[in-house]
Amino acid sequence: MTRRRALMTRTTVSLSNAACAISIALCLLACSSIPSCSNADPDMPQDKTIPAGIPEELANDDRANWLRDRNIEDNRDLLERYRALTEGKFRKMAATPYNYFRGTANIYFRDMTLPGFHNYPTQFGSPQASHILLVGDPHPENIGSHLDAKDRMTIDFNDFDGSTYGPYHLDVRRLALGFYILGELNADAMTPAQRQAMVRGVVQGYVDEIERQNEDKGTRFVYKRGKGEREAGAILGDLIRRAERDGDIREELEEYAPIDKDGKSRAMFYGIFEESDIEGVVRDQLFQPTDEERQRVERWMQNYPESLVDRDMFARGAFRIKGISRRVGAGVSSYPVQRYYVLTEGETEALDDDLLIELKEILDPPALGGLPSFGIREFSSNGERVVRAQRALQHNERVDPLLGWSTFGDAAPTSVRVRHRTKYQKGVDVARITEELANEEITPDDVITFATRAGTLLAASHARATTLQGKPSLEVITAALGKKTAGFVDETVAFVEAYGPETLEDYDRFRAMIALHGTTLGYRFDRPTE
Amino acid sequence: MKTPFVHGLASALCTALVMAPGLLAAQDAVASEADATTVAPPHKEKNIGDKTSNPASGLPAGLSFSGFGQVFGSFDYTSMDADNFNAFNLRRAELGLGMQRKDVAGFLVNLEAVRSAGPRSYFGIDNNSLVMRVKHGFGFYSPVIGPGRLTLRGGMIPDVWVETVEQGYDIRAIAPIMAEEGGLYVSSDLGGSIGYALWDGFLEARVALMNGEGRNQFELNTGKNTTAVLSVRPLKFDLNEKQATLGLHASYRDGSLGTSSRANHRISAALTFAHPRHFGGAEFTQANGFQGQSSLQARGVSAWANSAIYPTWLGVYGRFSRVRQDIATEGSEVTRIQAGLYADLIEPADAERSIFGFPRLRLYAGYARENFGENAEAITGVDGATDAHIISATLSARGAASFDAAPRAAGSAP
Repeated sequence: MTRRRALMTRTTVSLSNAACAISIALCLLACSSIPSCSNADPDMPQDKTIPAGIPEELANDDRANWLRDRNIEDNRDLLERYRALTEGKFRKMAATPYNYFRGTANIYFRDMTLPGFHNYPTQFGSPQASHILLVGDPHPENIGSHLDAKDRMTIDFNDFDGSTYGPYHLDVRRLALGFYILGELNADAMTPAQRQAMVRGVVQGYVDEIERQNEDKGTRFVYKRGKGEREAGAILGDLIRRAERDGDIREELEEYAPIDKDGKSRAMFYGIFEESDIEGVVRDQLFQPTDEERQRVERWMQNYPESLVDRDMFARGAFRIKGISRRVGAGVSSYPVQRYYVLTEGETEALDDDLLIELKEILDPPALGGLPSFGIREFSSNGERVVRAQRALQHNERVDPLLGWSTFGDAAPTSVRVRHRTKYQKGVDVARITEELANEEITPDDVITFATRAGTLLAASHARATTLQGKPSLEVITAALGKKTAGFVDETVAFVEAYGPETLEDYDRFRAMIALHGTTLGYRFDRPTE
Repeated sequence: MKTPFVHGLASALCTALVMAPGLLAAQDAVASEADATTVAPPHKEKNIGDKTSNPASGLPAGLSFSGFGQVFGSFDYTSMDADNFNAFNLRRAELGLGMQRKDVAGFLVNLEAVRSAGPRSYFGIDNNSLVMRVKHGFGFYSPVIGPGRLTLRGGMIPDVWVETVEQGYDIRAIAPIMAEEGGLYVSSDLGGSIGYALWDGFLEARVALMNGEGRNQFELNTGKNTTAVLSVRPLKFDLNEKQATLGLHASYRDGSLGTSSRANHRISAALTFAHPRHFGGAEFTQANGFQGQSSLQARGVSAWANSAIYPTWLGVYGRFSRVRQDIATEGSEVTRIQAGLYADLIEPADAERSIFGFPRLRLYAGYARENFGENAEAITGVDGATDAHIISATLSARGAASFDAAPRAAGSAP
């Protein structure tokens, strides 16, 4: 009897517990089914204000919040590893539309490949032409000069961090979009017709060069010393002139590893090299490496010579380390990543042939969601990926004879791209173009010429490589373009005229998000950061 | 004929691994027969808990431990306009370990193999190695209360909708259910759930509260996903001396995703038919908020059937799924059609449901066609860039072992 009563009591308690639990569950469900009760899509924080001039609807529309999440996702590993520097990256992106454009290649590729906000189909694609070796993020500031192994100046793309296999037209659109942003930044100096001609020039330059390549009359961006200034056009010619001038005097050594007072050795420079005009952002600063960093760099440097295209070009002791500094401030997208300058012995023990080498951590390229990519992981590391892409897409493998890669780490190794840190390698600077346009040192026609040459350069780069399946890219792109190349020009210009203003609106959204959620975009950290 | 081992593992694993409230309901006195759309051992195991202690082990009576493994290995030949490719793949490798006491309480940890480089990453652990991670890891408590059984779970728990539909889905080695394959649901997440199954599983309700970010991410916002599933199994009948069950299921999810709490709601319905030899069903899901875009609406439908025409020797399967990724955009659908044959190299000892019947060694040979609409292509406008014909040979193997406080045979089976 007692057992039965106890059982009844237990059952009653259990039943009441169950009823309570079920009630809670039903309340939760009922609450969640009422729109205002759902926890999704919260309202904009009321205690924060958005920057003047940004419409409130842009600050909290679906696109703004999607951008916020995507920017967090694309930078999550950097936020977790280098919080302060990644916040600096976001500040830098918020500083100018061009910086925002540079920092959001991932957003661009998502827009091009995922359903939702944008749909810009192409009539000039093919399955085969969807596997071209891409520069990945071609834009005006990723064009620069090099001194090749034959003592000639070349113009080439110089940043292949985003290089991957994908549809060729996405590279063309990205390059044209960069010039659109450049044009909008210079709306005071360039008329709408000139700005449109600039964008059109990119695409026209591309299709014309594909035609020339098919006739074996491809454009060569290779210049004998002293000739480039006159032959390369106003903007690229000036770039070559300055590169030759600064490179010849080994300015990089004097700046980053000056000779000691005794005149017998060099010492790495540590300190602020150039002040930033953006709060919370470093422009150019060199830090003394920690012991751990020093060991890491030494391991990278041990492995690096094996990746050189011609190891025999350099003496055995050429890569003996004489000094290391950590560089902060370069780039936009790659602003937070590890970047080191390493001073090495060079050919002899003399100080004037010392080498300054840059090691830069390389992350994954933008994903092309949904595009099949059998064999795309053919590289052993991201460092190898960008170096092999650079060698395939530049004029030849020896544009930078010191170009290589290195990997260090056990389970999840970090890889770096290694290059010669020389002033012969200079990049186009959009701010300089703006300044020179304002001062009438260059004309809008000069910028249009530059845009056309940029398109030409991209076509020449694409044409050199092979597709993921090993077919000549030139052949595949030519087939995809067909005879009506004017249609490709029109389609790409129409895309830029539609997507370009969206990108500028996205920039406003991004600035609003920074104002509302701070320079972490409100990301909730998983663990303490350095 | 079942061995004591099979009885033991069926009892232990079906409770500890499947943990469906319907199963638990089916195992008590109220629900004495197995529910075909859930799981139950065909023969009740009475010795669990019959003794008060096990002198040999010193473990308390009614305490049992169990483990299981499952592998889907395949060879796939893929033909696309741009490329052909062939590769051996490991679609699933899982290893589970569970402990339970008297079918009422316990815990389970289930590990699965995944590629270490995610979709956005080129390089993961030691390039792109397969690594193990937690798929499920939770405790459960499932007392009989009133006319049914209550089930509580907490931890990394199965998604209640995916789990419900999979109970009528026997070809998981061929493809996940549409809801999972189309990115509309993920199959497990951190959270808790409560369920109550009545009258031999005739009516079953479950509610889950979860983070909403999936098992590969920690919580990014303060909102929680609330999912409710209601199942009715109105029809049970004998077919070829085995019980067949028809189930109707409906679900609603209020969800949020990402730091900015994007809407991620779902409305789903499914019809399932389950019998030891024949399975079939259809599912539908409407997504309000998809891929992190609150305003994006997606919709998916799917139907499947498989039947062992000549048990052990020959079975046939067919499956169709279509997910329209943006219902506002024509041509944004992804369609998959799959068909093929299978043979059970080892006859399923308990195959009332797809995943957790034990043991099984089944070989599939089949064809799949993946077709992307003009605006569902990764590269919009490029017709055929992602369409594929796939011929596959797939081996589905699973096995288990268990022991409990009461002395009995233990072992393993493929």
